[in-house]
Amino acid sequence: MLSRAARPALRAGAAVSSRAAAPGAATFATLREIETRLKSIRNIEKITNTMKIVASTKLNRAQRAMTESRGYGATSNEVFTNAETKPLEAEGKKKLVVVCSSDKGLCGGVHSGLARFIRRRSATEPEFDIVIIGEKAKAQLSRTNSKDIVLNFSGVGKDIPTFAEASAIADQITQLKGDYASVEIVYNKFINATSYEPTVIEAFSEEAILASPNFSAFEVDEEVLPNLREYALANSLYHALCEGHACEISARRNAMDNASKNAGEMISKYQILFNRTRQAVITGELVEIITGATASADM
Amino acid sequence: MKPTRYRTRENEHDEQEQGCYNRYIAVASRALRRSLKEDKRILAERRGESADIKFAKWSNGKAGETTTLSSANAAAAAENATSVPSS
Repeated sequence: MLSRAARPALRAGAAVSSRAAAPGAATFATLREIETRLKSIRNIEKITNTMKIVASTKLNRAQRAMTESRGYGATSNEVFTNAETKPLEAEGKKKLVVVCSSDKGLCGGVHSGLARFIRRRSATEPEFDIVIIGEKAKAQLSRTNSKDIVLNFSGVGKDIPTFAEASAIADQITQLKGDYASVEIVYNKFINATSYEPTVIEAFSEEAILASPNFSAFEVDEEVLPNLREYALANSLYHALCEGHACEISARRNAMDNASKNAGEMISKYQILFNRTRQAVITGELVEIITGATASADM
Repeated sequence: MKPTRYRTRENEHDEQEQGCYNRYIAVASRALRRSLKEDKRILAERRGESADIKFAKWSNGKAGETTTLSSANAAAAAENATSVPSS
């Protein structure tokens, strides 16, 4: 798989090699051209390699944060699985979908996977409103689903997401003016270092919690229900953000690994081409000198 | 905290009780962070910030004004919770 970073360089490289192969062209110019190309590929490799190293070091912390955050998500969902809470089949009420992506690119298909997931669902399902976390998903979804967007957040996920961030976002989401049947959080689930898939967590509305069959066993007062809902939303958001962050970092590590590998391949190819061309130039010069010398010796 | 729209009809009038729990844990955790020892406190306080999150409200496919999240949340909290100090 070619990373997006390496692709323009590769295209440019292909252009150069076809030019270099042109017979009778000024060999000095192509030599210079190959040299500059080689230099720029080396620079790209340096950059991608550094990004890979940075991502690798971040990955450990991100994965640890993800495993810890899973506890938050699982524990707060335990109530709802025990109570057998189901999303309400409400008529005329919209759903709210929260998309957890981030601000930075260069990490493979993490963001476009989420955007594609949302687009696919918006084609098949009744209308829903969208809350977007992160610039990348905003840029992609504002092209197709801009009518459904109600809120967008940016500046999340620069570092490992914190619970304070998650609860601040949850606060804004609960303040939204709109009667939503349920809230769904879409995030990238971390399966292993190379694969992840868009997944949905449900954050239930109060009516849905009240309507769940076994909820009476918990003996929760109706008055504190908003608190539970809000807290559960913040927990689920935190879990989703952390897992999405870990996915992004690991995807970036893989993408940069591939980019560095491709750049390395190109460097060796161009090095050989460069050496051959230089040799050809030297040979050509020698031939000229020798012919000149023999010609003048004969006179 | 502003009243949420998801709540049931019965406690509609009850503004103060509505979904204050996140606010409550935020205040409690901030108090706890501030009382930690110096070295641990700096790390913990960095974790507690959400200052550089920005957000914008959208309507009819257009993004509205971008505001920082912390100021908006503080304003919303101050608006209907005089009993909860906003900073």
